[in-house]
Amino acid sequence: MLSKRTAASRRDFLKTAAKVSALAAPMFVPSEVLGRNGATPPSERVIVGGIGIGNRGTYDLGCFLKQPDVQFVAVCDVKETRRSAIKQLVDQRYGNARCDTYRDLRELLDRSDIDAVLIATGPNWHATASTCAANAGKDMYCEKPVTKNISQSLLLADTMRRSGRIFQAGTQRRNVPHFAFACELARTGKLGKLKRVYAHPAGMHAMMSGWLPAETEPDKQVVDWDLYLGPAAWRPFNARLLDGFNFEKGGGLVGGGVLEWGSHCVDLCQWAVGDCLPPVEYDAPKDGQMVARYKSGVELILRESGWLPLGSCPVRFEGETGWVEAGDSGKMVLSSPELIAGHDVAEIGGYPATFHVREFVDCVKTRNQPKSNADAASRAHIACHAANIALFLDRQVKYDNANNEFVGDEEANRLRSEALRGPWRI
Amino acid sequence: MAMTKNRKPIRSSFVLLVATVLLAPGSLAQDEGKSTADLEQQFIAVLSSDAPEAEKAIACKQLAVHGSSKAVPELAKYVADPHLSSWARIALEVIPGPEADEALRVGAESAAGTVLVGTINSIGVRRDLAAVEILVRHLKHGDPAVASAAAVALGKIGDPQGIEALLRELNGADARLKNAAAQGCILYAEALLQAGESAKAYEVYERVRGAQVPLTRIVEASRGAILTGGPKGEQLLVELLGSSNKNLVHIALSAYRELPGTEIDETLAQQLTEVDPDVAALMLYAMSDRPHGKISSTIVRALDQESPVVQKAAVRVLGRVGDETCLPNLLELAGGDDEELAALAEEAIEALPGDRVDARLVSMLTESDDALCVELLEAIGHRGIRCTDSVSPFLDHTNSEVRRAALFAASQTISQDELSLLVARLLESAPDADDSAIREALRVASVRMPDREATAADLAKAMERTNSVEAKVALLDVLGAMGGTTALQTLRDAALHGDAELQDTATRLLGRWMSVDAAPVLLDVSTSLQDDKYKVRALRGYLRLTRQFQFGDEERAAMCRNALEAATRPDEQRLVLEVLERYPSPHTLEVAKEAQQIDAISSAAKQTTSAIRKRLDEDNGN
Repeated sequence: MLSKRTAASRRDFLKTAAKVSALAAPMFVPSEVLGRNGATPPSERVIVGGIGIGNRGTYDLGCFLKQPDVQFVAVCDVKETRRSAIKQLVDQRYGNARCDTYRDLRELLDRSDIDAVLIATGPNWHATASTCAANAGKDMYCEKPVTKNISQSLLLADTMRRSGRIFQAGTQRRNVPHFAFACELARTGKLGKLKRVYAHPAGMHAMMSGWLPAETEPDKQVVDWDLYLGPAAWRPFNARLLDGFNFEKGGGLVGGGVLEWGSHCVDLCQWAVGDCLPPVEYDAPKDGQMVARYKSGVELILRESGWLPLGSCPVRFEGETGWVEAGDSGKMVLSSPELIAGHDVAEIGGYPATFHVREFVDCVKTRNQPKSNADAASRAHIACHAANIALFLDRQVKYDNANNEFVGDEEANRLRSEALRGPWRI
Repeated sequence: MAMTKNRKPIRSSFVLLVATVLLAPGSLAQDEGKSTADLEQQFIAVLSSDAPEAEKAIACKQLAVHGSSKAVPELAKYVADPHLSSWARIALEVIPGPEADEALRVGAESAAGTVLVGTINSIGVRRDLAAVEILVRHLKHGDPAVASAAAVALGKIGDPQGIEALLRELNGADARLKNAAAQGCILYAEALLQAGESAKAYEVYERVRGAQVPLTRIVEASRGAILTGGPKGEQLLVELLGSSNKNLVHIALSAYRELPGTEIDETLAQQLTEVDPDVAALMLYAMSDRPHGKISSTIVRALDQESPVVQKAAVRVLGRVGDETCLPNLLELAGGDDEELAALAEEAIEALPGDRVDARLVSMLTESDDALCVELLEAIGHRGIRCTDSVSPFLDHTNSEVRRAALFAASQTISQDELSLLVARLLESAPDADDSAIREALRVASVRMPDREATAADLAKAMERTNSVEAKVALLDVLGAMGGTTALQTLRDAALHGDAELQDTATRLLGRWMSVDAAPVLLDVSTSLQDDKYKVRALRGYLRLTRQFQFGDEERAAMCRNALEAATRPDEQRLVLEVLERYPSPHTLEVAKEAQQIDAISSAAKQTTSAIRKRLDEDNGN
């Protein structure tokens, strides 16, 4: 006799328990963290604070606020308007007035009740704030790009390993079903022996940062310019630098598309090759593309855009027997429909981070490493930075992963790091 | 694309920089073919001049790439400068040679506040042994931030004299300095660990663990002690798993994931029943990150624990690290009463790695009761196991749930040659409970077939073999889902020559077709059919393609003209006008003018003409 519960009904059950994807590592809200009537016991809640919550940060924050086992308690921002706006948003969500505000991240990190932080400052701050958070014993979800250069990438991974903190880079594509599926096909040999992985970071050019003419500096309570600069070299206040999309993104070498979008699409290529060490060779750009090579011989090819209209900055993986291409539209094109047999891959377009945030919260509880952990993020970002250096120098560079240096290239090696302004250090 | 070389003279680049923040890439490289030495001299000259701070800042950055010891004296002048210090250090941190070290040491004696802290940080980055004495002195600096920076820098440098000083400070009175000293000690021990000097590292970690320092430092030192302590480290690991402090439990789990060898796995396996169930669950998650081997048997045993927290964790991790030996346990749970556990078990069965799992699942089919058969067939489908000979007998099973599970498995696993299995069932079936399942199975299987045209041709032939209108309709639905040339042609034939029900289905499917190759077919159908309902449906489908898909201006205008000629009702004629207005071009303007000759829409066409003309004028800047 059959069980009264069919397989389908059980899967429905899991879905209602907030299971969001069957792909790759499981994501779940363990029922054991939910108390009676679905409420989360206070002892099981993850207490979260936010650092630098602007546009993307507000979206990320929304994803955190959706989690039943998260309590958001404090926001830190150097801008008064943002502190107030986020406090209002959070207080409205919880129906109280308890979201605390801070101007200086050190004060927020000093709070012993906070388990984890959302870091969504400008990229200039990401690695430094992550280090501060780890030193303060916090887990963290950090928006991408998570580092400004190769040295920061290595130090970030070391810091998270040493401190045992959970780090999730905001490379949410790793938890978007069709991207995860595409990577799984490549990683598990379903495409045959992998030959080429393509990343399409629009805006492939390296740039240097500088400064704008001085303007009258606002009161610290309105905008704390010194804290806004943080680890970046000093320059006078200029309102146009606030929220500057590329402000000190890549340190001395502002990343352009290779870092901005590469931290998504190069990251996926890294996942497709099993999060191995980054490529060892990066050719000079030629005919609109740059070819890098992994030690295994697999080529990582950076191009401005993909072949198919699949949304921004797609990825494509080619093996000996098949290929797959996927982009932000939620669509995926396969060389053969058989590759997807047996799988129900949801098509979710845009830049959804809910699943990614959920995985982070799960990992805070289980202490499993999330998909965008510090090691994986570090390797992907090193690939981006090395590619940027090849772009900037306009010549081939060879990277030695064992010694973390470019082979016989003094100029490239000098671009691996950049001094931070005091008192900040990583 | 944007990867252009743009070698501008540095002066003009700087003007651009000041104006726009960002400087083009080539302008910072070897502009105008100058040698590195020439560039260096050029930037040194900027630093020694009375140029504005902005120019000097960028000169520092340039010297980070092009500078040598010759640039150091000028850079050194700015180490203590409150605005330019960090710019100067950008260069000094990477210029090789003792001159840069010396410049930073001088700065460490003359700067103050955060500038001094930054200078000390740079010394730490360069690991300047000659700076140890200065740094040890700075441990007593009145500014706690300076003393802390010195402590961390000493840890990075790792000189014995400096480390001794740090170890002394661990027992000092200044809490902030103790924290920084512990950080320095841990960084030093980390370097020892990397160098394979575990015993020395363990000693340092233990000194930190024994000090009155913040918990985060104790946590870091505990990890190090576990990794370097050998048996003492493993003992510490077990001890910390029983701690009431969750941070210490977490770092123990983190260290466990890193520990080499398998002895620790056996030790922890014994601990699973000794620790709090919540910790046992976390241990199981950590075990799933270890090399497998004996781990899976430990996890299987955990399924028998009473705690649901432990059971669920065990099921979850088995999906990642289990093998075929776990199947009986997981299948039993999948058929059990606990909804969540059963669902998790099904997920784990689908995820279990290895071909041997596939073989075991198939072999169990013949020895299972109905309930288990459903589970097995579902798993076979989800895992995509090719075993049609084993699945097909269940397509005729007496139990309808087993039949449906077999249809699901077949839909996901049969090959092109075996599609006839499902086609035959579709042609033979009477409308009963299985009918929709058969249709769905055939659709799913057909859509995933690698040779779409050959599959569509097989389905078209099947249509010819049957007299059942229901079966023909079902086959048309499958063809509509597949797409492709053969499917399109078959739908066209059904729309033009089929009976009313087939015409209805075929025009409905053509109206939703998702590629532009359906356009001529839809136009053909709309002009050839007599029945107004289907004519209109086909024409609207044609207009949908015209409106939604990418065409050149001329081609889209021609399609609109075709539609106007085919349309017999004002409703469709107005839809054409909407498309024209949506895509203003000289070509669509002409068609809109022509539409003014159609009495029923003459007035609307004039408005459309006017709107298009206005948009074109705006685009031309008029």
